[in-house]
Amino acid sequence: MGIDLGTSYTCVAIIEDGMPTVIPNEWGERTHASVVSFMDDGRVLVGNDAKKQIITNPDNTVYSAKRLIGRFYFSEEVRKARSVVPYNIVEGTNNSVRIQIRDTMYSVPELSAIVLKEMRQVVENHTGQTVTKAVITVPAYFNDNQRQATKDAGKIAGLDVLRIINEPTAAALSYGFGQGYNQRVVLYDLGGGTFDVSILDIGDDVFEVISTAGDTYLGGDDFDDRIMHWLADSFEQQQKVDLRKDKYALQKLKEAAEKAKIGLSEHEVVQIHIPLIYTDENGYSLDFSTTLSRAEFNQMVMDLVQRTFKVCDEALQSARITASEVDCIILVGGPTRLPIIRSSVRHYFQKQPLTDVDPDEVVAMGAAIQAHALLDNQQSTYLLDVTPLTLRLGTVGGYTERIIDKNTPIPIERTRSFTTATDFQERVRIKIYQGESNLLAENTLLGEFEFSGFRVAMRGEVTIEVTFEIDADGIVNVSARDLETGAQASTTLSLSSGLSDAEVDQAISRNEGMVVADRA
Amino acid sequence: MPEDPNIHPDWAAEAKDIADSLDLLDYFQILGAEIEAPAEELKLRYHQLQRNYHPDTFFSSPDLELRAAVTKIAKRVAEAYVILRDPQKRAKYTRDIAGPERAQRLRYSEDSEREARQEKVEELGRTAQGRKLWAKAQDCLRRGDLQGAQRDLQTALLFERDNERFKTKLDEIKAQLGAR
Repeated sequence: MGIDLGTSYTCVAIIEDGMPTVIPNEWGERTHASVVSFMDDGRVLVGNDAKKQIITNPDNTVYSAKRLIGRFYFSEEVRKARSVVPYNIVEGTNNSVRIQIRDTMYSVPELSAIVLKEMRQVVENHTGQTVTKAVITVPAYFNDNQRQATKDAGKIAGLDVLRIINEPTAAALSYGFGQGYNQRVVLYDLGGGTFDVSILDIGDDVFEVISTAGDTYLGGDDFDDRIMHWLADSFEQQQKVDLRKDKYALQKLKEAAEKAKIGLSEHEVVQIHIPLIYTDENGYSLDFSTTLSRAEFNQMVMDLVQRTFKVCDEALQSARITASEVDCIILVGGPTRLPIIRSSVRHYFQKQPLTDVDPDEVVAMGAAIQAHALLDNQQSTYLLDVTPLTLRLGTVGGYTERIIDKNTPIPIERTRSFTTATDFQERVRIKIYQGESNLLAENTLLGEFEFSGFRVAMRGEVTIEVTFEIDADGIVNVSARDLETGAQASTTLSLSSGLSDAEVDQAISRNEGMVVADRA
Repeated sequence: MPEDPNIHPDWAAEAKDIADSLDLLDYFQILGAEIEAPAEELKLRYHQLQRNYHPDTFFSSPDLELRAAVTKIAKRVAEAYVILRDPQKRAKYTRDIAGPERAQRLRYSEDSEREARQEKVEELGRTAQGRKLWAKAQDCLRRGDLQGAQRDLQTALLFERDNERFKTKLDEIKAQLGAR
C-alpha cells in the first residue's frame, strides 16, 4: 500500500487490477484527518472522528503532529506549535519532543503510528487480507531526522516500510505512470503544513528529479491562521474581547477559518457564523457572524503566495532552467484548489496548470505504484530522486564543510579521509549536519558519530576513510575504515532527536495494545 | 547465496564483476560515453544505465550480493553523472584524468574541488592589485599594445609571484614581441 501521511489529512491507496486506487473507509471517506484523540473513557479516536474532538477535548486531541516530527524541542517550529496548539508539548530526552496526554508521554512517531495503523485497517477491511508492506511519503524538503522519524512511525504501526519517497515525486509517478511521456514537469505541492517544488524530467519510464526546493514552515494551515486572526481582530473590534486568549474559542475560529477557506474555492463571498463563541461575565453568550470575500482573503494571504514563488525561483535556478522551459505544471495538495493559487501559478509559469489530477489523492496513488514496483520483478518505472539538502561536516570554529550537495541524485556516496590529530588517538568524532549555510549553527544536526577500533599510533599516521551514504530513502548512513589495515571501524551514533531501538520496541507494544474505537 | 530465478546467471555475474572493477574506470568509461560526448548524450546514458542497474529493480531479489553490486554501480553512475553534468567540474575532471596522476584522479574528490576553486581564483588574480593589473593588461592587448600589457603583467607578478596564469600570458607576450 501507499500512504500519504499528511499534516492535515492522510490518504491510502493500493494497486487493484493494475490501477492505483484510493481506498475509502467504511463511511466512504477517502481522506482522513491526521488527528488522534484520547477520550476520557480510554477510547482512542482517529481521523475525521477525532477531528471533531479538537473543540470538545482540546487537551487530549493531537493534530498537525507532522509539524513536530523529527524536530528538536528547541526548534523554531516546536516553539511556534507550543504557542498555538492546546495539547501539551513537553521536552523529552536528547532535546526530543514528547506529547503529554494526561499522565502518559508519547513520542511524535508514536502518534503518527496510530494514524498509519488506521490506514492499514482501512486497507485490510477492504481487501480482507493482512497488509503490512508500505511506501510512506514525506515532503521532499524533509531532512534526515524527519525521514527517520517517519520510518519509525511505520515500524511502530507494525508496517514493513519498503521505502520513504518524496510527495512531489510520488505525484509525478502517478501522473506519468505508463504514459510514455517525454516532458519536463513541475510539481507545485502545497500541503497542510509544508510546501515543496520539484522539477522532473520524465523520459518514458525514467522519472529523474532535477531539483527540489521547499519550505517546511509553509502550508494551508498558515492560510487558515490568517483568516483566524482576521476573525479574532474583527470580533475584538465589535466586542472589545480578544478571543485568542480563550483556547476553546480559538479552536472554533480555526475550524470556521478552514471552512471559509474551502468555501472561497467555489464562491466569491462566504458567510461565517459561529454560534455561542463567547460567554461574558453576566453569563450572556454571543454568536459571531461576518462575511469574507475572495478579494479580502487574497489580500490577507498574498505574501504567503509570494513565498511559494521564491521557492519556485530557487528550484528553477538549481535546475538551470527558466519557467518557460517547463512543459507541464501539476498541482498537489488541497490548498492548491484555491483560485488565488491557480491564477498565480498560471501567471508565474505563463501556462495553465494541469487540473485533471486530484490534488488530495495523487500522492497516495504514486506511493502505491512505487510499493507495487518494489515488490514486483516486472517493475517498469525508475525513480531517480535527489537529496534536498546539503550534507555537511562540522569543522572547527563553528563552521561546516560540504560533503554532498543538495540536488545530488540518490542513492549516492562520498568518501573523506581523516588523519589522527593527536598521538595514540583512539577515537575520531564527527558531527553531521544538513542545511545550506557554512555556519554550523544555521544547519540541522543529524548526529554525532564516533569511530574507534582502528590502529593506535603517532598522530598523522593513521588515515581513516569515512563513507557518507544517502540511501534511496534519503536517509544518511555513515561508515568508516582504517585505510591501511582495511579494518572496519565501529560506529556509534548519539545525540540525534530520534528514538532508540528500545523506545521503538516499547512503542510497538503499546501500539499493539491500543484499540481504536469504532464510530458511534 | 541463493540465485535470483528472474535474472540470467551470466548477467548477475557480469554485474558483480563490473561492481568490483569500478575503481579502475573513469566517469566517461562508467557512463560508456566518449570524452567529447554532449551533455544530452550523458543524460541518456545515465537513464539507460539506471534502467539496467537501478537498485529498486532488484529490491526483492534473494541474491544479496547482486543487490549490493547493482547498488554500488548505481551510486557510481550517479556520481559520474553529477560531476560531468556540471561544465566546470567536467572540464577540471577531464584534464585531471588526462594527466600523470590519472590513477588517483578517477573519482572527483575534495582535492579536485579545492583545486578547482583555487583555479577559479587564479584566473582573475588573488589580490586586488593583481586583478586590476590583469584587467588593464587585457585592455592593452585588445588595443594591440603589447608593451603596455607586458608592463602591467610584470607589475601584477610583483603582487602574485606564482600566478601561473599571469606567467603564461607574460611569456606569450614576450614571445610575440621577440618575433617582431
